[in-house]
Amino acid sequence: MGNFITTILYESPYLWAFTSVALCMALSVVGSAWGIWTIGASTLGVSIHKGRLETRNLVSVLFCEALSIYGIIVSIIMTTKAQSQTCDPISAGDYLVGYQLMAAGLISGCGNLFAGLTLGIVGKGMAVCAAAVSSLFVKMLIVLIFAEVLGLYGMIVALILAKDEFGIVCSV
Amino acid sequence: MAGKGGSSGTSSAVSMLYDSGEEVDDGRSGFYGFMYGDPKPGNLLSFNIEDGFLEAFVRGNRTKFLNANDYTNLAVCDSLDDVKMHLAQTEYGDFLANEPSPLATTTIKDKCIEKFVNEFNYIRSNATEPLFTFLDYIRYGYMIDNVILVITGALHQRDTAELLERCHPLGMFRTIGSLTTCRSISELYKHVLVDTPIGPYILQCMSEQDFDPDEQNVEVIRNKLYKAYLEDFNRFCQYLGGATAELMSELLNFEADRRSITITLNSFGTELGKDDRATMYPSLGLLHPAGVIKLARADDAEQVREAVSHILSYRKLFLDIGPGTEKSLEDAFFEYEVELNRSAFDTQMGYALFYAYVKLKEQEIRNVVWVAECVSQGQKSKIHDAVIQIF
Repeated sequence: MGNFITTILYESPYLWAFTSVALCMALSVVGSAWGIWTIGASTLGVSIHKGRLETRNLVSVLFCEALSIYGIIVSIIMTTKAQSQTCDPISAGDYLVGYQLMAAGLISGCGNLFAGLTLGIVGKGMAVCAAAVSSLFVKMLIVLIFAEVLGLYGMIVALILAKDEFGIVCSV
Repeated sequence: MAGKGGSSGTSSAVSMLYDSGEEVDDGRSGFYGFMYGDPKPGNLLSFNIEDGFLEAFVRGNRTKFLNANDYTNLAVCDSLDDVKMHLAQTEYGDFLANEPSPLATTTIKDKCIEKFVNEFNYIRSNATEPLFTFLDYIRYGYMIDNVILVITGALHQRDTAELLERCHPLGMFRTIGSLTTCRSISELYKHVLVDTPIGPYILQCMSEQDFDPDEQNVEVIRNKLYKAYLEDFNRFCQYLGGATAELMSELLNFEADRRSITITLNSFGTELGKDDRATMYPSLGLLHPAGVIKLARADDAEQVREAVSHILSYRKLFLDIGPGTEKSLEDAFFEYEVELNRSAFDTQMGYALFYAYVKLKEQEIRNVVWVAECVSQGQKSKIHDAVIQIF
């Protein structure tokens, strides 16, 4: 077991960096998709009655989509950073960058995942309630904005980590 | 979203074997439900995958119920044509457009039921598995009513075609016409009901070997069928678990208690013995088992009132009615039912919504028919006595 941990720890920092890119993108997409399917099913249901009015719920889908855009921004920035750190031999600075990117990816990915779940459930409730009481729609948008901001916080921290120029530059 | 219902006959028989006292978390709800034959409804995160569309469709129907304004407008109508005109301005639209001019209240009632059945069939045709069986269970109640209607009519030598017209469309099944030729319970089961989902329910009445053409006997059969149905439905809802189980047990408990009280009150003055009466009480409900024992021993309305008085909500119902008011117990029950169903209608992530929708639509049809009756008989002052505001 100790050998296994040691092997993992001394793996190339590329493992950390690119795993995190994958996680960031994947988790963001999962969160976004979760939100979209939840909102979409309910929007379709209420649109049968007052189609033109109730398709305003598609703005909730827009919020969910923004989460995957945050994910892709962070992923692209992380990819360029990871690919620019080609050092041979691998130094401590590279490990630092690898770990930073791992943290950035997880932060952004998980933030978008849970923001997406929230947006889904709230947006679904909003679709149904706004069909009954029309004035609730604008008020519920505030809840959606707060949920969206969760993903934004994740992206901010991830970008700070990913673009951190204080990291030790390759010492070759 | 194509309907994927299995044969409902096996579903109801199988569900009578479920014996889950507590909720079993075997992972069938939500994502992996499709891997099992009997999925459960999803929880908070996964409900929308299968049933989100239909839930939103039904909840979007909330604004389509007649509101207080509409009832006020209807109350000042002078004739059924006025009623038709006012209804055309609500969500009912032109549903009476093709009817010939001297309208009858039975026409209005039939058209209302037809409109409701169309909506129900739309929901049912889009439902996937656990919801499909759930909606079928709602239909079994109507099936039982239809079966009793046809049997009673046959005993009074009514014409079969006329009887079948009076049946509720939600409870029709293919072999219902051959019910008129049944002369005993076992014939009833073996020739007709064994192919229907309510077959297992008649097994509980099989000991009733005499099937004499007698109003009371047929009522006894109806009550026993309904008791078996309620218990089966409750078992199924407990199996579904989650929010569905919680809310449906509340609604079905009230239904069972209402039937127990009504059976007791209706059996005073008939030859129905107390033991026979006790076999007709469903074994669920807030009154079960303590109140039911007292009900079985009751001899008059006062003792019935005492028997249910340990439940606050029923005590309040009995307080509302009395010699001073014109409200009957039935009206009080209807009002309470509307309250319960209204709160169930607003819940998320459960199937109680669909059951509540059916019950509330029924109440609305009752309201409209009452208004039509009052208007056609010129007794408009009585309209607000029995019209229960739904939303």
